[in-house]
Amino acid sequence: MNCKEARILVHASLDAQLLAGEKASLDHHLLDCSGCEGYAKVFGALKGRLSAMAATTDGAVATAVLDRCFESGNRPGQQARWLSQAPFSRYRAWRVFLSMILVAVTLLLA
Amino acid sequence: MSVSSEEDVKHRFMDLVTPHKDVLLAGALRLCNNNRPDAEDLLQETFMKAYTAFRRSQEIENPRAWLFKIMRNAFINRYHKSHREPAVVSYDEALDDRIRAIVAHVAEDPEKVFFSRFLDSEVEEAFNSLPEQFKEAVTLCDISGLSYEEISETLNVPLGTVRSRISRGREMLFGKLYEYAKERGLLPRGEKGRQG
Repeated sequence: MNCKEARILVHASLDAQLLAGEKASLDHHLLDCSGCEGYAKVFGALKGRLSAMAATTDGAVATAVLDRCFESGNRPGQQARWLSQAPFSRYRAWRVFLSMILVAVTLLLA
Repeated sequence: MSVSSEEDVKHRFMDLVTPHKDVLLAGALRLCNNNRPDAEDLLQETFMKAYTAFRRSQEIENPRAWLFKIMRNAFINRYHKSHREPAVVSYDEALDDRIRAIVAHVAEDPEKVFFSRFLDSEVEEAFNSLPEQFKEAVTLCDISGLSYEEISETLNVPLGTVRSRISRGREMLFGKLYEYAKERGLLPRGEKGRQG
């Protein structure tokens, strides 16, 4: 195993995603390669920092968003009011409307 | 659908979604560069689309990957159409050498020597500047806690690509943090300017 392959496995190891047999190969490489051993320490610290960022999410916010989906205005199974009022949707509706007029005019002229 | 069966479907949907709602929000925040109103809109759209799909079929094998896939598609459709065909990011061979040299200087105690010098907002800024395909792979892994298989399913790419994007994405982030630290003089004496 070369260092390039080992470094991809270092990340899989940090994520507990190594496949069968890969752990032994990686451990063997890390014993002999101080560069990759240091790499594993550095990226272990980076992963810890990123995971800490995930933990700062406020759980109540997601619950409120989920509850909003079932409020009286947003009937289950139907597109929410806020979606149909979004600028992009309005733009698309206008485009469809204008296309229909164009087709009608073309048919009349023909 | 009768009112009682509608309520039943709703309850089953809530049971399915509730364990994943927080990691979905964390993922939405990262996708939307920490813009909270956009992230909440994206999350609500995800729940609405998921519910519509759930009413049609309730055979969901992997709810977390399924929900993230819906969220990613909603994000692409609504916020980032150009994301459909992400720009190919060329493999930067020089980054390997740079990473190797930087690691050698901070490996003894990376948290103390390097990472403790950054505010969360600075890490976020560097994270947000990653190319999309790397940012979303690292987000799904580190922020949302998906397995590589779930990420593969969500992004519709092979497992090898997931591995490569995660390792490369973290390396890019580390490289960006290092450059940032160097520019602002955040590195301990002796580290500044060793790499360029």
